[in-house]
Amino acid sequence: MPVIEINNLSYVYNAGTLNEKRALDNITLSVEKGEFLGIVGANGSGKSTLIQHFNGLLLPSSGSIFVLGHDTRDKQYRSQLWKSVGLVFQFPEQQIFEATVYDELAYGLRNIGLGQPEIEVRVKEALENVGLIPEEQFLNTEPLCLSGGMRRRIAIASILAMKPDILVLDEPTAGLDPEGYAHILDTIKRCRKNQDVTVVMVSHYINDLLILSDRLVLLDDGCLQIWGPTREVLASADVKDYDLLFPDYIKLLHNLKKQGFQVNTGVLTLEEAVDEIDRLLEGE
Amino acid sequence: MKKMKLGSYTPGTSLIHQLDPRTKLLSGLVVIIVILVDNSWPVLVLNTVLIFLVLYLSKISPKSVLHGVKWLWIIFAASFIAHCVCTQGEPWFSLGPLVVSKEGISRGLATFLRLLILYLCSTILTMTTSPMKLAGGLEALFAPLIYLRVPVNQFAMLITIALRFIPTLIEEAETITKAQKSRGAPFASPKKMVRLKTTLAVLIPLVVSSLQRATDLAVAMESRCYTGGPHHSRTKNLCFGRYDLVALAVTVVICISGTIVG
Repeated sequence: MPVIEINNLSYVYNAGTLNEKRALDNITLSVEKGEFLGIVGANGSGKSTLIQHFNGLLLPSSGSIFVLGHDTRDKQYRSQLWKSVGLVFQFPEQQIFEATVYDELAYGLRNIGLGQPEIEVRVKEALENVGLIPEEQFLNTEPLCLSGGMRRRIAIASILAMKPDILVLDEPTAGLDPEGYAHILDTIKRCRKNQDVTVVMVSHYINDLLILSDRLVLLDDGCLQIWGPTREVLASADVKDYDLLFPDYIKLLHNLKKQGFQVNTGVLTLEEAVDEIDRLLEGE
Repeated sequence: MKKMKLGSYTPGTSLIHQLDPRTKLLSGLVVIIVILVDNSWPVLVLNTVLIFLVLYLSKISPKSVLHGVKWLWIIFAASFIAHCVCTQGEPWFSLGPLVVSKEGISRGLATFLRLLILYLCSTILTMTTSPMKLAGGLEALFAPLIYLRVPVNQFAMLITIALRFIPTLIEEAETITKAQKSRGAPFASPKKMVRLKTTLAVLIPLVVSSLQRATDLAVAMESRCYTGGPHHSRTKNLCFGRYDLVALAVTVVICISGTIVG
C-alpha cells in the first residue's frame, strides 16, 4: 500500500499576481512503504516544492496528496504530520539554534512530548546513527564550533531522533567534502536498514541515487518526465534527452545502442557498465 | 515567497516607471509636505486627483495597491471615527451618547485623505522604482552634503545593500520557519513564552547567517578594491529628461495652486 499517493498535483507560487509561477504541473506518483525513491532534476524543476507537500508545509493548488492514508488538506491531520514525515531541508545546518548538540537534537523530541529518559536514549541513538561517536564527546558541544559536515550530520540526526515513518531529504550531500559526503550516505543506508523507514531523497547528482534508489523520478520544469524502477529508467531511451543529469557511462552505453550495438543500457554502476562493454567486446 | 510583499517593486514600462528616481522622490516629498502643512480642501482634493492620476499612469492595478493595505484600513477607519465623534461643533446626528458633528465629519474625511495620499505616495514610489534606482536617486539628492563632510557614498552603499538583502532575508526566514515547523515548532501555541522561544528558533539562525553573509560580502567587496569612496560607477547613470521636468512642474503647480486657492 502506498504511503504517499499524489494525484494530478499542481502548485502555483504567487497565484493571481504578476510573479505567478507554476512550479509543479499535474504530477501523479506514489511512494510504497519501505521503498527508496530518488527525485532528480535541474535547479527550478520543482523538486523542493514537491517534497514540501509531503509533510503538509505546502498544499496543492489543484489535485490531491494522501500521506499515510490521509489527505493533507485535513488541518487537524496536517498539524501532526511532522511527527511521521521527517523533512531534512537543503543546508539543514543553517537551522541549528540551540546552545548544545543535545538540546538541538532534543528540540523535536520535546515538541513531540517525550519524557526526559526517552529523549536521552533517542539523542544518543541518533548521534550513533550519524556516526558521531562516542556520543558523550558531542552532547555538550556547541554546534557552531563544529565543522560544516558535522553540523549537517547533527541537523540530520535531529530529524532521525524523531523516528519518522517517512524520511525526506533535500540534497543532503550538497556542498560537502568527500568525507562528509560518504558519512551522510552511510547514515541514510544505516537508517534504512535499522529503522525500516521509507526514504525520499532529492539530488542534483544522480550518481548518489542510482545505487540507493528503488525507483527514480525525473522532474523537468515542474513536470514529471520519467518515473519508474531505477534500472528501467536508465534503460529507457528518454534518458538521452537529459544528457547533463546522467553519468558519462550511461550516456556511452546509450550512444553505443544508438549505433546499433546490442547493449544493455539498464546498468547502475560504472563496474556494471565496464562488464557490459567487456561482454560486448568479447562477443565481437 | 507566497504573496507579494506590500509595496514591493513591480517591473513595468509605464511613464511613471521611466521617470528619474530623483523626480519621484522630490515630487513625493513636495506632495507630502504640502498635505501635512496645509489641510485645506482644495489642497487635499487636488493632490488626491494628482495621486490617482499617477496611479493610473503607472499602470499598476489599483486592486493590488489597495488590496495589500487591509490592516491600514482599520487605522483609516479608526481615525475617521475618532474625528467624527471627538470634534466639537454643530451636531449632525447622535448615536446614543455619541454626537457626530459636521466639523467632525469634515475633519475625519480630511485626515482620511491625508493618510490615503501618504500611503499611495510611498507605495507608488516603491512599486515603480527598483531599489537600486531608489538608492541611486537618494545618493544623487544628498550629494551636496559631501561638502559638509557627510559620507553620502557610504550611506548610499549601505541603503543599496540593505534593500538588496531584504528579499533574501525574507526567503531565508521562510525556509528556516518551515524547517523548524518540520520539527514541530509550536508557532501557534497559546502560551506567550513558548511562542517567544519558537521565534528565537528562527531569529538565531537568521542572525548567524546574516553575520556570515555580511562578512563574506565585505571580503568580496574589499577584494574588488572597494574603499568606500565616491569612485564606484553604475551600469546605468541617472538621466533627468523632459518628462521629469514636466512631472515636477505639474506637481509644483498643483501644490501651489491648491495652497493659493485654499
